[in-house]
Amino acid sequence: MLDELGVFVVLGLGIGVVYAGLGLSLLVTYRGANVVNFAIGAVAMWGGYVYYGLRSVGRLYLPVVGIPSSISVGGPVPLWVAVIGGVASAAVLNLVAEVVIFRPLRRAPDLAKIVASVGLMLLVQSVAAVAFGSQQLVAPSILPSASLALGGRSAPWSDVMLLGIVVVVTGVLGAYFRFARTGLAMQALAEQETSVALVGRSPSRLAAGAWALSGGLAGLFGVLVAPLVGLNTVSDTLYVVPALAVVLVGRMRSLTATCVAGVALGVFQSVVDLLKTMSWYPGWAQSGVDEALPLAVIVAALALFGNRLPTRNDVAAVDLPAVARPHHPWWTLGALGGAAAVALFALSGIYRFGVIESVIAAIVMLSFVVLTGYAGQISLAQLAIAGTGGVFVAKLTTAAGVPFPAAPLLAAMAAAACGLVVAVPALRIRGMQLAIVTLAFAVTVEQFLFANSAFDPPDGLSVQPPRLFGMDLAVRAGDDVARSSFGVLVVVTFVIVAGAVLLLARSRSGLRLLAVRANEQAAASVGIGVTGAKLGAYALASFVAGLGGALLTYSTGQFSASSFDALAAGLPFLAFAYLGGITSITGGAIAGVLAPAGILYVVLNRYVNNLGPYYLVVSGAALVVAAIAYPSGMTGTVRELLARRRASHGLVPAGADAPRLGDPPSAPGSLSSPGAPSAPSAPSAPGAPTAEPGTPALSVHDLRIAYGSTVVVDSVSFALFSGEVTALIGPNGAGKTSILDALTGFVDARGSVRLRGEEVLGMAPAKLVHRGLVRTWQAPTTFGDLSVVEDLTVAARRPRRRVSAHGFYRAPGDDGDPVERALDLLDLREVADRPTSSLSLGQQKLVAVGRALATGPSVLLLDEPAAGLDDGESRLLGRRLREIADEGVAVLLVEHDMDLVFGVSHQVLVLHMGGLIAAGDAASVQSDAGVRRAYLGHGAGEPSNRCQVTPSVVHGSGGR
Amino acid sequence: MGRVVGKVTSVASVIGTALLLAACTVTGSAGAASRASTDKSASANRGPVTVGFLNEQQGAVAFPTFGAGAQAARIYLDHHGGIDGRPLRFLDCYTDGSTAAAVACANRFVAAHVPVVLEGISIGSDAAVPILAGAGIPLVGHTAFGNVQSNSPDAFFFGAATGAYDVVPLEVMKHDLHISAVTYMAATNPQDRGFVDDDSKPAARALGLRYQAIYYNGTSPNFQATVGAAIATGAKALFFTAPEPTCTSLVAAARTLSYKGAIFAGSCSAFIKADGAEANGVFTASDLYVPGDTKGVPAAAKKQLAVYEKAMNHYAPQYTNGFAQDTFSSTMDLATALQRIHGKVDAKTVLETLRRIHGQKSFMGQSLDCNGKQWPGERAACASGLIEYQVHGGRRVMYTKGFVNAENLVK
Repeated sequence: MLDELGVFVVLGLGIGVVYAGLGLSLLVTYRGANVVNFAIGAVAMWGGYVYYGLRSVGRLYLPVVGIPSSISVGGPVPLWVAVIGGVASAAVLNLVAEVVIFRPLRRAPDLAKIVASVGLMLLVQSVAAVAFGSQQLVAPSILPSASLALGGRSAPWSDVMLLGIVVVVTGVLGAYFRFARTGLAMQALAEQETSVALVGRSPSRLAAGAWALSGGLAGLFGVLVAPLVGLNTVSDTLYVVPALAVVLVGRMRSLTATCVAGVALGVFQSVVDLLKTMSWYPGWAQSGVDEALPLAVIVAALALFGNRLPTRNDVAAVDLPAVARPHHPWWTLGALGGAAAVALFALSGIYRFGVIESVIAAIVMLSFVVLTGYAGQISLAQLAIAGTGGVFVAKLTTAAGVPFPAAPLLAAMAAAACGLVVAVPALRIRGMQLAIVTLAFAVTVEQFLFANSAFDPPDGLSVQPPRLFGMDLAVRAGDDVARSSFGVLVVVTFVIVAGAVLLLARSRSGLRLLAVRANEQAAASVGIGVTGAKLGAYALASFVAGLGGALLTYSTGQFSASSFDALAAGLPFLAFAYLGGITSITGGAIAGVLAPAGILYVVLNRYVNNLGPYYLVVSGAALVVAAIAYPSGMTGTVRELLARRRASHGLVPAGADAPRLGDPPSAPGSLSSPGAPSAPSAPSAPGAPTAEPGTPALSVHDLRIAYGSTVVVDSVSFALFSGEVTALIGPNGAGKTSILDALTGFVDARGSVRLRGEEVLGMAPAKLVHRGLVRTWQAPTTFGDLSVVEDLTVAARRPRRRVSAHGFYRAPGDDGDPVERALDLLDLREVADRPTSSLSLGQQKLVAVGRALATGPSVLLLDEPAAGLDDGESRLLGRRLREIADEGVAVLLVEHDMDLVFGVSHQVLVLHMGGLIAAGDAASVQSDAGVRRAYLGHGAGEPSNRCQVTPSVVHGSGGR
Repeated sequence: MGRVVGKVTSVASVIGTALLLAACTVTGSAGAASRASTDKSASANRGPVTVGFLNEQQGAVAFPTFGAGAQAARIYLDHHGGIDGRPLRFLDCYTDGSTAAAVACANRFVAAHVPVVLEGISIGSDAAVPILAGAGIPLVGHTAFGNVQSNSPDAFFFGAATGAYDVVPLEVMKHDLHISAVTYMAATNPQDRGFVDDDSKPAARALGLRYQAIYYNGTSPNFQATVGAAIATGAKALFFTAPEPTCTSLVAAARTLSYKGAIFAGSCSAFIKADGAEANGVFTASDLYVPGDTKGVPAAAKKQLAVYEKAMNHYAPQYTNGFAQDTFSSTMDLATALQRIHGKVDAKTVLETLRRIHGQKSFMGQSLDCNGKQWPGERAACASGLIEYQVHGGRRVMYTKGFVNAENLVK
């Protein structure tokens, strides 16, 4: 048995080397250029094909079509020439891809890069198919064919040699990245491009080098394993899924871990093949287990390594095209529905069928709009989820006799449940990593569900045609291949779904979803349940996708797994959704027109003959060009063009000329003029509690924060009092923001934090917000797609009942809407309807403060709110902070603006190297020698150029 | 010659991912209609007889060899009297193997009122069957590419039933080679599992063979591990029905692992050249007499083989030894059936004629009987016999004496 096991360990090495090699290639691109290249399998395949062409045919094949795509080299070349040719060809192909495709996309949204790599994959596959045909080729052996004897069994030596090669390559790569200057620079490039440029290195050249290196690696392993696995345009591309899995195991960082994981995965799959021969091995596991292994690996990696919320140092949320919410949504809906209906009745036969397929595709595309467009989740599993709707509707109608419309609705619910399973990893990861996980999930669903004979029997899985109140709604009858009754059903469904999506976009739930999409941290910090929002988005999007899948199955008369294939259909579906415009209803409709088997397909089919085998190449190229030239999709691009045109004709949006906060007033008595008479009372802070001044609102005791083995805050104790402003100052790196993060649940800490007597350390951010503990962030954290008033509305809480003397946020009968009061308090009224992304930095900071106020806090933690403000704005902010405190709010102010700090604070805490070194009023802190040495430096206390904020200007109670 | 049914099932999963291209290109590769007339009157008495032709001709997963065989036969027929004096024309609709493309082609054929659709190869064509059947249009071909069409009363396939490829070799193993243990390697998809459960397992039981099935990932297989697992079962014969490239790789893997037992490579033939000397001794089945080996071939079939080779050498010599033989044969068989229609050639008359085929000799093949009873669960099969060949010196040499029928093993 051990000998047998040994044989299978060896037999698994070959395929494991494929996974490891492609994983290394992926990692090099990711580390050097921050891109996950889904086309890496296709690049490896190309290297193998070029090797084959040189070695077997005697021609050098080029990745072009239309012009001579191969050059005779006078006959089959020696082995080493063919290998070098294959490797070099893949390296050049990858390099060209970087220069032509990914360099222009360097600042583009992640989604654009995914679409571009999908397009590249299509291109390379189609060029290979044109050049070499579709049949699998047998590549000449490279390694010796000697056998290794293992106790009476044989195993190929070549597999062991491949293992040796990948180990050597991993070692060389590791040494390169660790010791070579260029390698070190490449690593730095992924983290800090600007810094790399400042030391005289060209980021473009380094990125190009990373891509070429990655391509060469892919080509090397493509050449080496081609004799083992054969050459065809499909299999090599599929290896990207296990390659992605092993990269995740390596935490997208470790070459060694990636290599080991790849080899281990291949060996494990091979051992499973041995286990399948055992009598005890269950029959149901004979198929699907191999394919599910990469997903299992991914899930395990994420369970171990993923974080629930982004930490401060994480790059902000996925950058996506701006969300479009039509100004006249019902007109838009009516126009789309009307156009579909007109096309439906104006056309007949195969054209009407094309319209039907387009509308069904548009329904599926709307699920992308909800999930990716609105919620910011890049999921590659949507079509697989649609497929679950298709499987279930067929099963329900044939096996269980469930009638229409219950069957498709139940099927959609099953799809929604499936979508919630996908949502679980999405709670911990985002961006490219989420894309990888969802792709693996889709492949697994395909194998375990669609390829499972229990669900899709060999005879096929037909579906009973829909009938409603005796009316036959079947798609076809006799010669009529597209009945209008079915078409009407589909159009009505689209209108209902699109209407629901529009309602979502305009609802409070929709605003919260957009807030989560824009910035999960900021959303959590104002009490928005990020988990709930994401789960809701996945459930809704999956329901819609399931509905689309059910309708697609009705249209073909049976369930067809190929229509929902993860790679073959799923990726292009996402790409078309992107092309149409993934953030708008209209974009979803356009994507439906472009989708396979839709009306465009039918028209091209009829009127554009003899596209020949080059059509595939054109399709892939079109996708790449679109990703580069139209990162906002077609509808987004049109919208931007129209907006620019309006602007050029002087049709600027209202409020664009509104004065900035702090501008010189046009009328006397402005708040911002130094020495001006005291401004009339500003509106009171919305929702501020009327707790007694001097009562501890927040008590912190022995707070300790550590990142790994590094302690950044130790034994810090202080208290915040209602009605007072407490400043927390200290040099950069002292631990100020870490304290805020710990108090608000964003990092783990030890010690005690009591909020009005209740221990709250470690509580989730949203729960703390509900209890009145709210913060702002150092960096601007507006929800870019929302207007100012929407930004505040998303956080606003409803009136709450009085729960204790210190525990309520709005007194019963309190007047005013917290959003309106925050707008007035912070002088944001004039910019209320402008998108927050169009505001100045200072205004964005004030919006963030306003958002925090709209939640009705009792304790408000502000992280450098004055950063980016000019003198006038800073003074106004100071006045407002005292007014907020006067309402009974306990304010903790982290700031570097000493004029503001000493002008408004009742007490000042000084933090240095993680510990408090002073606490007291402004005067005592300013005169403390230790504080001077540690923080204020020589010359502290001398008059500054800034306008002094004197106590006489500040309202409210005095300091303690 | 490749076993197309094995291709159907295993390649179904391969093509599923090759639809990566097809999904974007299904618009282009599918439905490139020929300039043939689609007028209803083409089926009228003195005009050409226009039949629909469905094939994966272009794109990522293309089988132009199937198309070549049909075209070569059509040209031959036109030069030799056509269909009762009327030329034969094709209304081409090319797919990429996807269901969507097959549905689109079916819609096109229905709209064009073709009297019959001839299929080369189209993996997704099961979806087309109900559409064509709804319009009363029969589907014909050499081999069924899906369970729906193989069991449809409106489809007619002139090659052997797909199940025969899983059973006849077992018969040969038992009675000619006296083998007692066999391991069957199949791809993990519902169709292949169906063949195992419905055909080869019951047949092995009936023959008293020790039988085990090993499943491999059809889209990205580890051939060596699969064959290693099969060898580990102690089998005296390895048996598989798979697409040509898979056959080639499996044979190579078996030789690499020093396997000395019998290998039955479905109906594949590409491995003969690709694997070179390693192919010697491997068995492969065919439902037609193959070119090159005429020893033991009946005189009539020898003449037909000569016709075929001459026609192919003239039209597409590079495809002579491939699947083109299947579609050449089925085109000629269809023409023979159509010749019997005196009067209007439409879907109704064609369907009636096809249902009455009994004892018609298949071109280069065996006797046909389209009574729906040639193989259990395959109503569309009009034959069930296979010839088993063995590779010697790079050529297929007939091992069995003519066609072997084994449907009794699964009835």
